[in-house]
Amino acid sequence: MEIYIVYESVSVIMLLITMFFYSYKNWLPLRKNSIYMRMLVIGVVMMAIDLILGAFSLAFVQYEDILQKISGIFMNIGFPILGVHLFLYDVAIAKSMRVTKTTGFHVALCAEAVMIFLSVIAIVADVPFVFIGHGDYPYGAGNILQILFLLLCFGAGTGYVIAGRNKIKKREFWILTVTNLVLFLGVIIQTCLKARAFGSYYVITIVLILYYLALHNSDQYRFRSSKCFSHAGYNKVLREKALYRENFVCLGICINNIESITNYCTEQEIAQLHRRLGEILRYYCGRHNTYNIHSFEYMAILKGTDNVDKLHRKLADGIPPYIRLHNKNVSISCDFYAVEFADARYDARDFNRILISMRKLAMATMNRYQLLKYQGDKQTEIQDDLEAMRILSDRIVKRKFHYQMLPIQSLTDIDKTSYEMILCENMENGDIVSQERIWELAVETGYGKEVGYIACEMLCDYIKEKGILHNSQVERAHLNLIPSQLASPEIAKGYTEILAQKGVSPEKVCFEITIDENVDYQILTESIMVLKEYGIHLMLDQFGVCACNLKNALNIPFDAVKLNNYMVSIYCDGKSRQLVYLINMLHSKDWAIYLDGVDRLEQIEILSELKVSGIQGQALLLNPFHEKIEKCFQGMGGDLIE
Amino acid sequence: MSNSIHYELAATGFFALLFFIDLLKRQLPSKRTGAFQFMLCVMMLASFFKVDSDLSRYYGESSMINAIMQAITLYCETLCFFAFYAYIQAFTHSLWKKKIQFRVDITIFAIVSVLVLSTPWTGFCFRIDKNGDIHRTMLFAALGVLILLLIVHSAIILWKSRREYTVYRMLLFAILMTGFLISILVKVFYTTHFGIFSLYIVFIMYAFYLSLQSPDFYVDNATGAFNRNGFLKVFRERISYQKETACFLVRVRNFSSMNQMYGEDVLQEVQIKIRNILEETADGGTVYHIGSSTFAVVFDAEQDVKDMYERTKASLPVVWNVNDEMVNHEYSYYTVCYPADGEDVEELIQRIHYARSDHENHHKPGELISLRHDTVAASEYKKEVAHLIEEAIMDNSLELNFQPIYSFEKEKITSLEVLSRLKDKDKKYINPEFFIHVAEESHTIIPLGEQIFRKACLFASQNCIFELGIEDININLSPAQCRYEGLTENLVNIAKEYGIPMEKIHLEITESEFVDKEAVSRTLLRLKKTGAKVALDDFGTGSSMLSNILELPVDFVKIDKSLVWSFAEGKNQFLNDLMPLIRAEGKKIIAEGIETEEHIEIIKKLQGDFLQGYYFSKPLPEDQFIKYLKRFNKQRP
Repeated sequence: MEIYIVYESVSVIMLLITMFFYSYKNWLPLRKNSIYMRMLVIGVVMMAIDLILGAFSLAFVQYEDILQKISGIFMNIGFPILGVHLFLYDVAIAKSMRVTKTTGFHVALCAEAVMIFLSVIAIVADVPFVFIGHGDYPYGAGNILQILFLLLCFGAGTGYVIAGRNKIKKREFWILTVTNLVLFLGVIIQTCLKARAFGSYYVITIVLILYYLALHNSDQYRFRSSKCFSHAGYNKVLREKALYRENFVCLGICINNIESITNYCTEQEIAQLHRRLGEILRYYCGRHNTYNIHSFEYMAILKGTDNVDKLHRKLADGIPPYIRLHNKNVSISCDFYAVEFADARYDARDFNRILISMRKLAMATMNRYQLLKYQGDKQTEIQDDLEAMRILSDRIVKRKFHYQMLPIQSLTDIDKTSYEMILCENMENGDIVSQERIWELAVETGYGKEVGYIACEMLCDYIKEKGILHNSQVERAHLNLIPSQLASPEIAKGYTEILAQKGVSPEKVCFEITIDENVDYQILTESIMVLKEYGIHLMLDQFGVCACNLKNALNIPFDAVKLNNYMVSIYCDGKSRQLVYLINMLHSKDWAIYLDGVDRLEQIEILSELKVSGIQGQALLLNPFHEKIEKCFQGMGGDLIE
Repeated sequence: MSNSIHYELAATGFFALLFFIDLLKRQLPSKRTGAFQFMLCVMMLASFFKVDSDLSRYYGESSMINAIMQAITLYCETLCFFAFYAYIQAFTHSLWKKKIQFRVDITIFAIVSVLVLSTPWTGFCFRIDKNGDIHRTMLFAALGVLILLLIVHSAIILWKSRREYTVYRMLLFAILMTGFLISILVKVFYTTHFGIFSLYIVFIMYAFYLSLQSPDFYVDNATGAFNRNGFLKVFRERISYQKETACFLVRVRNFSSMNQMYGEDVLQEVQIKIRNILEETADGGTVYHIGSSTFAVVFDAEQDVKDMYERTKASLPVVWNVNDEMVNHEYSYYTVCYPADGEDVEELIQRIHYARSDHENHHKPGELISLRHDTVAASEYKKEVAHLIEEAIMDNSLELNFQPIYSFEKEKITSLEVLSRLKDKDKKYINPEFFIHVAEESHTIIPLGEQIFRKACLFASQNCIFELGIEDININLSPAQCRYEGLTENLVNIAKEYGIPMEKIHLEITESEFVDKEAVSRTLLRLKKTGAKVALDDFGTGSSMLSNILELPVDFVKIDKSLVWSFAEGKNQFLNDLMPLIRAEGKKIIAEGIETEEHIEIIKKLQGDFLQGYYFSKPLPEDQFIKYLKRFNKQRP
């Protein structure tokens, strides 16, 4: 038996095993992966044909020549194609596939195509342009040109790898460079030995297996249980799509009760659940397009928008509402959303941010038959949110927010005014990021405490800058806080430390606290006591619209309460008399009562019958208050909001 | 040269490739991985020595050199089977080094080693004649039998733990073992060299490596640390061997929002830095990245965790500067120890999962929280309740009770409130507020609410309650249900199915800071259009928004019992102003928690419209309620 048959047979089986697992484990729809798959197929086909023909030529010696010719034809076609693929593989990893659109590449390909054509003709017609066979035989011009072409492929591949070394991992760089060198030298050695190098296929197999084991790491990109691609795989695909600016539609599938599922299912059961879900999704979306981004989120990447609705409908019907696992019924509550990559202007970072926002919105819909699309109001809302986040992050770094100071007029002493600091930021489209939104985002991102401290520092700076400390006409400067910014007495102490550090008297400061439904009244009371003991004035803000436990909220030792503008406006418009009842109710607490949202002068007249300590609103910027306030502001060298 | 040498050479090449690539990869610190690497290494050596011995035979080396080469080859081949046996034991977590069986195995192997390696001089296993032919002895056959026994034992070990592994894995093992068996039989009974078996082993090992032993599966692509799969593998293995294990968990808070703010690339940088710091401070522990926001470090003793906590706290910065962005991170720290905190691996894993998930109230920044049973008791209970809800939904087994509501105007029971009841494992009733909250959190409120509504309609229809003086059926509605677009249509269809007019339905929505107030308002308006009435439930407690009375399209306001009781005790005077406030808005008032005549007098004085409470009756099961209703209303005109 010919020796080369031994090595080829081993190689072909090894490649078949590789190909099986490569397909079975599924490969990410990346350029390098599809090139690699093609290389495996070419390798297997070439070797299998050579092996079969070799075996036949042993069995049927009389047909040896013909069989050798056929084998020669395949080799002359196969090797250049493999060479081109090895080059493309290098390019796909180290550079951009745009190289394939250059004239040079096209010229080289055309020349090689002509070469292949001529070689095949030469082999068939026995023209001494190309020689085939074993042993010591002369090289024809065709042989030399084919070898040069292969050398060019490996050389150019190495060149691109070296050029792109900064973009790829060290491991990738060394493996690609060394394998190219090995292949390059292999071809030269084979040429010098003038023998059919039995190792050619073997070396190629080793190289391909090395690529697979060392560069592909398929297992890092897949969820074993669901057999879908993982988040890491999704990131890879997204980066490539961004690189080539390829549009796609992402259909997100969120399992919104996963928390409950993971709470009462074992790891094995959860794995089974993912397996079932993975099967369903791969069936409908295709195995190359399905991603298991997080334990609770799947994603299908589709080429066009046309099929999204249809696929959504299929999935909504196809994902069962319950899955039976062992003795448990697991309900599957899922929601869907769709986003186009072009909507994020092919920016992977923006796209991921949009996905997170869409996921949140979709999980709130609780309706699997509703496909939430990134368009219209949702798009504007998400864009605004993202911009607000960008602004917040920027301001935190700079430790400075934009703010407005709104006057609060005392009605017990007409000469005294207080000022409330309201944080607000302008967006590019002219919209305003309100203080409430800033607080909300800050809490969501874990910056609640930090933003509270920054605001407190700014308030102190303002007090000092405007000389409020020694201005008897200015009663206090107010700062808004939410309970999560007073989440412990230690955090509350932080505010007192800031005041002490900045040398601001606590008597000149008032914290307006808006209670929400998540507040822990005991902790809030403890924190408030820290501030109160330090001498800071405390006010319950937004009363009337804040969600609170009336009994508990009214037992917190505030000094004052501010009724929300909604209550004021419906009272002044004659729609409701709630305000009167509320004021009566609050009087029993002996708190100073302030009214917010007094925007018109006639409202002041209507409200004058109520026993309140102060008012706030646009009306204060008008006559008869306007002159007084303006004077006061000018005296302090401040700005007046018009 | 014989073709078998080329087969061996080809196999050796692939073994070497596999072995060295495997060496380059990050390997999980587990017995199984170690055993596999050892097996691979031994197989590569066996294959290499086989080539060497064949070459020495081919080139006619002296019989002593030949014999030595043959003995080394035989030794390596024997070692292969022992390595495989050890691998199977490691795979099934039965490689106990302290057990007698392990010592016996080692002793046998030592004896075999001596016998095989001394063969060139003693001729125990084989001898080589002047022509270079090998003559095997009975001891050689005995060695074959011993190896057969090893393989059979391996098969038994695997069979015993077959339930833990998939059919696919078992099949791979079966193929591998069959290959081994054949190779032994060939080796013992077939005297010529048959190198193709090395190839067979290469193919199987390669397939085995790719399917079951790939180290990539345990490595996190983002940080390069071991991932959750690796962590679970090691954790389970350690507990199987009853090895004391202490896990230290670090969780970055608000990770998802951070992700939205800074993007994945920036956070990935931070993750890598965190991993590096943990690696530096781990001092012998292994770092795992077990979730996007959570890292785990595995130690041998609890004290190591405490030391690690101190070191980590001192070294993990709060502010990270990445690509000119300041990323602020707060961390929660947890520890779970085996066996101190529990011996059941599943339970411990659940606790680790607890640390990874968002349980806001328990993730105290900066503190080291021990995940003992009491720490997670509330969460465990929640889990149990969530499970019971799921079961109740599936089995349609939710119980309903009914509480009468008395009308001042009609002076009789005119409505009833439908109250759902769920029992825990000890057959005790779970607080309805709690399980409804759990259902809201676990997104099972839609099917649960539907079941309650359906059962209430069925009850009304079967008992003809409208003929017994009942005018309204009060059914609770969660704000979370209002986000479901198809809610109104669903309820209307169900009511229609049982012939209940929507005008008789009275939906009570709990006061809260609605996540989506617009959706709530929209749904309530839709429901009102169908004729249903709406009440604002539990007003005055929890999360009351006074503006809700004005803004939401409600017909009734239910004053919470705590306000009624505290008013009666003189602890607050709110009701004096609240009740007129509600009445002024044209809403009718239902007072809850009526237990005494005094309560009735108070509500009467404050001009309430309806009364509900134990004074009239506690919530009753269906039959008892009907009896009560008939009796009560019969006494009234």
